[in-house]
Amino acid sequence: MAGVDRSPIGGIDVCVIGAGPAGGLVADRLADDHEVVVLDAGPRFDPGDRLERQERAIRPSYDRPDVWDGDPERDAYSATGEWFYPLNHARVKGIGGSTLHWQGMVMRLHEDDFNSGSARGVGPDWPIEYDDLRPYYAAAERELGVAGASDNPYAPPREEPHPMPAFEPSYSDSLFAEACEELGIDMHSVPNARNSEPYGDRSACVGYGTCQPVCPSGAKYDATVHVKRAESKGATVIDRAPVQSLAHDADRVTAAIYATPDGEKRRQAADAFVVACGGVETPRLLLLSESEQYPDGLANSSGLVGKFFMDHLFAGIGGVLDEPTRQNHVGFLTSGCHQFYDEADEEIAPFKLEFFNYDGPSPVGMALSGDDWGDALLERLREEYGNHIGMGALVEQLPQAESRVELDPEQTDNHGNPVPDVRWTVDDRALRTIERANEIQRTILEELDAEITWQVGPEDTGPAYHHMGTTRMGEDPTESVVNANLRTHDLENCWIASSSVFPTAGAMNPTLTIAALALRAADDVGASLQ
Amino acid sequence: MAPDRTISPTGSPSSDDTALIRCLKPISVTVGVGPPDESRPVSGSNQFDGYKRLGLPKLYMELTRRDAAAALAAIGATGGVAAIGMSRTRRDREGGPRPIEDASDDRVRATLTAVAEVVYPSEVSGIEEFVGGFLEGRLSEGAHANGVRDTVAELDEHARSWYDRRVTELSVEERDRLLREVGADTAEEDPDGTTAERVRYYVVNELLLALYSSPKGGKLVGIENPQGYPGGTESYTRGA
Repeated sequence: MAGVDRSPIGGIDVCVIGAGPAGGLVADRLADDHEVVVLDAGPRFDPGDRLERQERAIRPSYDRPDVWDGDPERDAYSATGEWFYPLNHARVKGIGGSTLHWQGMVMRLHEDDFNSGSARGVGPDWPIEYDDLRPYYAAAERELGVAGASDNPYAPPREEPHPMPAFEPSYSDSLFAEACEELGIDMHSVPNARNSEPYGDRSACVGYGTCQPVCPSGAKYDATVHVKRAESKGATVIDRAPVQSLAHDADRVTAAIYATPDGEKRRQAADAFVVACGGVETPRLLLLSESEQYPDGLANSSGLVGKFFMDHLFAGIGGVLDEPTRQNHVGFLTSGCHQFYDEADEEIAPFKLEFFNYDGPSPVGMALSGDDWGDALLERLREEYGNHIGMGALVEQLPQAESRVELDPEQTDNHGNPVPDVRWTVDDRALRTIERANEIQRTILEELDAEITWQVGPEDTGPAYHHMGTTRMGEDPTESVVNANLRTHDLENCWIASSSVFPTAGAMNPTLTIAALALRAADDVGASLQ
Repeated sequence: MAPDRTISPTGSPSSDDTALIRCLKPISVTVGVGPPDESRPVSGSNQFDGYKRLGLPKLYMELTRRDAAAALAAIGATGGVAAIGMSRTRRDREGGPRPIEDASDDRVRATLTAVAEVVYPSEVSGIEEFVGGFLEGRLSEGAHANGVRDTVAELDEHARSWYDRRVTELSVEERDRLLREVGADTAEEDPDGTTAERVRYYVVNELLLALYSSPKGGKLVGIENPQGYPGGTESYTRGA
C-alpha cells in the first residue's frame, strides 16, 4: 500500500519475526516494558473484508489459499517427500497468521505427552514437564479466550475453570451419546477458542458456520487480537516485510534483513530476536541465514534444523442415518473423546476422537456446484442434506529425522530465495493408530445403525495442518536446537516461539501449547533484557 | 429412552411474514424429530445441562425484503471479488469502451428477477422483492457490481440475438433454455471465465447464493441457519 512507512525502527529491544499467535503474544507481553517491532511476510488484512472472504470460502470458484490472498510466487514451495504435503492449504501469511483460517480447538497436551520416551517408550522427552507449562496454559486460555468445561476426566489437571462456559452440545452429539453410552465410551466437551459469550471487545459466536477458513464476526480468536494490543502499547508492526535472513556474528543475531514491496532490503537491528514463523518458514529462515561462521545455517550446530517435521494424521469415518442429524449449522465441534489417548505405548500412538457437527455437504455449497436449478436442485438438496453423521480423529506421528524441511535449490520465491521443500514421511505406529481409531469410529457408527459411506484410513490419511518439530527443544545442544526456554543453543539473543520446538507432537491441536510456550519464552526474553 | 421421531411439521405464517404469499405449504420433511421436552444427556462423565428443545421451526416459502437483508447479512453487500480485488470484470480485462450496451440497475433487477423465476424452486414466492432487496446491496459499488451488470448485459445480448427479445420478455421456458444454451447449467462458476462461466458466477450462482445462504432458503432444505448466515448458536442444538 502506498504511503506505508516500512523503514526500520531505531532503539528496538525486541524484533519479532512473524505475526501469528506466537509472535503476537510475545509482542504483546514484551511491549509492556520494551520497544518492539514485528515483521511479517504477508499483508495486514482489513477486518471489514471478512464477509467477502467468507463468500470466497463458500463459492466453488475459489480455492482455500484464495480466501486469505495466497500468492503462489511468494508462497512457492516443494513437497518431494514420500508423502505429499499441501503446504499452502495449511497456512496463511499475514497479520494474524494461520489463526485467521484455523479451526480453533484448544486442548492442553496430556502429561505423558511431555514424557513420551519414558512413559510410552518412543520419542524424546520434552525438557519441561506439564507442571512447568501449566500456569502458562492457564494464561494462554485467558489470552485467547477459551470456552470449555471441566468435564473431561482424561484431561490433565487444571487449576481454574475455563474463561468462558463451553458451547452446548449439538443435536448430533446427543445421537452419538446414546451409542457411546451403550458402548461405554465417554464423551466430553471440546475447548474452543471462540466466544460462547462476549469476551473482551469481541462478540459471542453468531453462528456463521464458516469458522474454517474465516470467522466474519471475530468471535473466533485470531492473532490480530494480540498484534493490535501490542500496537496499542507502542509496538511497531510492519507488514509485507518478508525477512530474508538473520545477520549475525558468532554468538548473536544482529539484524533481520527484510524486503519491502518497493524492492528494497532493509535492516532491522534489535537486542533480542524472536523467530515465530511456524514449523516450515522458521527452519527455512535459519537455513537461509547461512554464513561462513554457520555454513549449515543459523542455530544449526546440531544439524537438526528442519529435521523431525511432524503433523497430526487424520482418521475418520462417516455415513448416513435414517433420521435428521442437523449438520452444518455451525462450523465448530462441541464434543470429543480422550478416553483412549493415554493408552498410548510403543505400538499405538495417542489419539483423540472428534464428533462432527458439519459432516456431509452444506446445502449452499451444493447449490452452487450442481448442473441443476429450480425444483430439480431443491429436490437434490433435500435428498443429499440432512442425515449425514461422521467422526474424526487426530493421531500423533513420531519424530523421524528423514521427515524434514529443507531448502530446494531448484526453485526460488519472488525474492530469489530457495523455497522450502517439505519432505514429509509418516511412521508405521501412526498408521496402526489410524486403524485403531477407525475401529472405534466404526463401532460407534454401527451402534447408531449408520450406513457407512466414507472412511479415511491409513491409505488415504492426510495432515491436520499442524507443522511441528523442525527446531526441537532439548537440554543437549547436540540433540536439539533450542533450550527449555526456547532460546537457541547457538545464539544468546535468539528465541524461537513456534510449534517447531515440539520434540514430540502429541495428538492435540497445537495452538494452545504454542501460545503457552510463547508466553513462557516472553518471560525469558524479558528477563534477559533486564 | 428411545426418541419418538414421528412428529410431522406444520407451517403457518407469522405476523411479519404474511405478505406476498403465493405458495405457502409445509416443507416436505420426511422424518420428524424428537419431542420438545426430550433431554438426552451425553454419556460418561459429562456434566452438560441437557439439550435444549425449543420446538419445531415454522416453515415458510415466501421471500421478503427482510429475507434479502438476511442474505446480505450472510454474504455481504459488495461481493467476494469487489472489496479485496481477487478478480477483474470483463470491463477491467478488456479496457476501453464495452462492446455491448450497459445494463441499468433497473434492467439488472428485472433480468435477475426473471432468471430467479427459473433457478428458484416453485415453492418460493416474493421473488421480485427478494431479488430487488438483495441487489440493492450487491449493486451498490465495486468490481463485483460491474461484473453483474456486464454479465447481465451480455446475457441480454444473447437473448436478443437468439430470440429477438430481452430476457425479461422471454417465457420461463425460454429463459431456462437460454441459460442452458449459454452453457450456464454445466459450467463451473468463474468470474474471469467464459460467458457460460461468468453467467454461472454473476447471474445463476449470485441468485442461488442469495437464496440458499438465507434462513428461508435454508429452511427449504431443512437447515434454518445455513452456512454463511449468522443465525446464532441455538439451532445446532435442536433436533428440528
